[in-house]
Amino acid sequence: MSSLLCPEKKLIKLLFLRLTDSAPLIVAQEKGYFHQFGLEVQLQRETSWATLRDKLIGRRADAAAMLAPMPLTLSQALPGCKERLISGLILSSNGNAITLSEDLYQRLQHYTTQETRTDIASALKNYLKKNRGTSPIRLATVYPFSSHTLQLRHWLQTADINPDQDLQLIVLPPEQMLENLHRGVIDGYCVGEPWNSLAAYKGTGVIASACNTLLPAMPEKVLAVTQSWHEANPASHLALRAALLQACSWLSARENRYEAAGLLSQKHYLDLPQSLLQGSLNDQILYRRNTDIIANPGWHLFAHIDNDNGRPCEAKAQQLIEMCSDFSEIALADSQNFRSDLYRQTVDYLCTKK
Amino acid sequence: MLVDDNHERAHSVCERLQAAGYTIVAQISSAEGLLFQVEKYRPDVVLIDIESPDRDILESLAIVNREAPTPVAMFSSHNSADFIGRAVESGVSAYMAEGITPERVAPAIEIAMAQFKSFQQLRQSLERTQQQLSDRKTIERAKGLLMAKKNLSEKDAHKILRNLAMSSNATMRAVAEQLIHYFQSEH
Repeated sequence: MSSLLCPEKKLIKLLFLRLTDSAPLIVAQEKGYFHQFGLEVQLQRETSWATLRDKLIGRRADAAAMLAPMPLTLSQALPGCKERLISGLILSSNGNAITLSEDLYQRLQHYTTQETRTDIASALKNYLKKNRGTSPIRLATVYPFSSHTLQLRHWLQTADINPDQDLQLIVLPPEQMLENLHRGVIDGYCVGEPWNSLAAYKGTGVIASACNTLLPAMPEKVLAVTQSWHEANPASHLALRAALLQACSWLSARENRYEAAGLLSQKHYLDLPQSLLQGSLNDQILYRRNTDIIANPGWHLFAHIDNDNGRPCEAKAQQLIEMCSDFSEIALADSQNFRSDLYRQTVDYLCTKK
Repeated sequence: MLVDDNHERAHSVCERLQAAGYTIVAQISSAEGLLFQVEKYRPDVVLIDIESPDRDILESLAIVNREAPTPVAMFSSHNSADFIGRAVESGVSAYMAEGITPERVAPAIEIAMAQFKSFQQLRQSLERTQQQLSDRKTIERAKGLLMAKKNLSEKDAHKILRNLAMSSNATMRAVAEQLIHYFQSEH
C-alpha cells in the first residue's frame, strides 16, 4: 500500500482517557495503522476531560479523543477562548451506563413494587419524595457538556425527577468514579465503560441502565483538533483520520474484539484485566454481582467506512446542542465545528487508495 | 482562594500573592468541600492544581451556577492558546468570579504559575540528583566486583566499563547493572 500523503507533522501527540472506547486509538497504534499513513504517534493518557481539553487548546498536544459535545460547547465552557475545536470523525457511539451504589440500590427496594430494571428510576423518585430534608443524593458525570450528563438527565426526567432541584449533580474524572462511589462521596454515576462493569463485578455498584437503551446511537467520542492546528497540518489531520477510521472499521468486526481487549488491558493503556474489558466490549452486561450476564446489543458502536456512524454532520451537532441547551445556553453556530466535509475527504481518500 | 494539597507549595504561593497585595480569603487542600468554600468566601479568583480531582467539580459549578467562578481562558493582550499552554505547563488552572476582568486577576495568576513552575523544577532537579546518586552507587559496585573477580585496578575496571558502554551504545549504569547481574548469576 503506497501512501501519497506527506504529513506536515509526522510526530503526533494524541491524548486519551482510561476508557474502553479509547480502543480506536490503541488499535491504530498497536496494529500499525498510524505508521501506514506516515505518522509516528505518541499516545498520552490523561485523567480529566477538562485537563485534556486545556492541553489540546494550549498546544501541548496535537489531537485528542474527546467527548462529542466538547467541540460544540467550547465557548460556553471556556468563555473568552479564541480557539476553536473541530472534528472530522466520530469514533464511537454509546458505551456508557448509569450505576448506583449497592447501598442506594438496596434502600430503593423499599420504594418499588416491581422487581424490574425499568422501575429503578421511579423507585428513586419515590425515595426522593419520602426522604426530603435528609442528606441529598449526589450523582456524578464526567463533564458538564457530555453525553453522560444528557443521558443521566434524560433517565431522571423519565421518572419525573428534576435534576437541578431534587438531587445534586457533580463532575468527577471517569477513573475516579468507582473510588468515590466506594467511599460514599457519591451515590451513583453515569460513566463510560469499563467503570460500570467493574463496579458490578466488585459488588460496589448496580448498573441501573445501559445508556444505549435510553438514547440509541448517540455520538460519544470524536477525534478533535484545534482549528489552527488543522489549518497548519491538513495532511497530518487526514492521515490521523484515515488511520483511526480503519481502526474503527476493524473494531466493528466482532471477531476482533477479543484481541482488542487484550491490547487495551496493557499497563500503559487501561491497566485492567482483559477478562473484564472483553465482556462489555463484546456487548455483554453484568447488571449486578452474582446475577446472569446478559447481551446488550449495540453497547459499543464504532465508526465504519461503509455506514454513517462516523460522520460528524451538522444535524448530529444540532441535536446534541439542543439537548445541552436544556440546561445551559449554547450558540447554535458551533454546530459547524462538526465537519462532515473532512469526513467525506477521509472516505474518498481511503476509497481511492484501495 | 487557593486549592492545593501540596502544603509547602501552597504556602509559598500565598506568601508571594500577599507580598503583591492580594488577600487570600481561603487556602484549602483538595479534600475539603470546595462547593461550600466557594459559596462561603465568594473569591474573585480561585487558583487550583490542574491535576486535582476537585478541579472538575469547580468546572461543573461554573456552568450550572451563574454565580460560580468561570475558567480564565486568556488575558486580553494574550492569545488564549499561549496563556492556556503556559498555565497547563505550570500546572495551574484559574477561575474568576463574575464581574471581574481578566486584567485584574492576571498578575495573581502569573505569580501562581511562576511559583508552581519553580516547584516543578525543584522536584525535577531533586529527582535528577537522586538518579545520579543511585547511578554512581551501581557503577561503583560493578567496578568493585570487576576488581575483585578479575584482579583489576580501579582505573582498569573503570576503563572496561566505559568501553563496554561505548561499544554497546548504552549508559554506564546499564552496563554496570548487567555486570552485577552476571556476577551474581555465577554463584
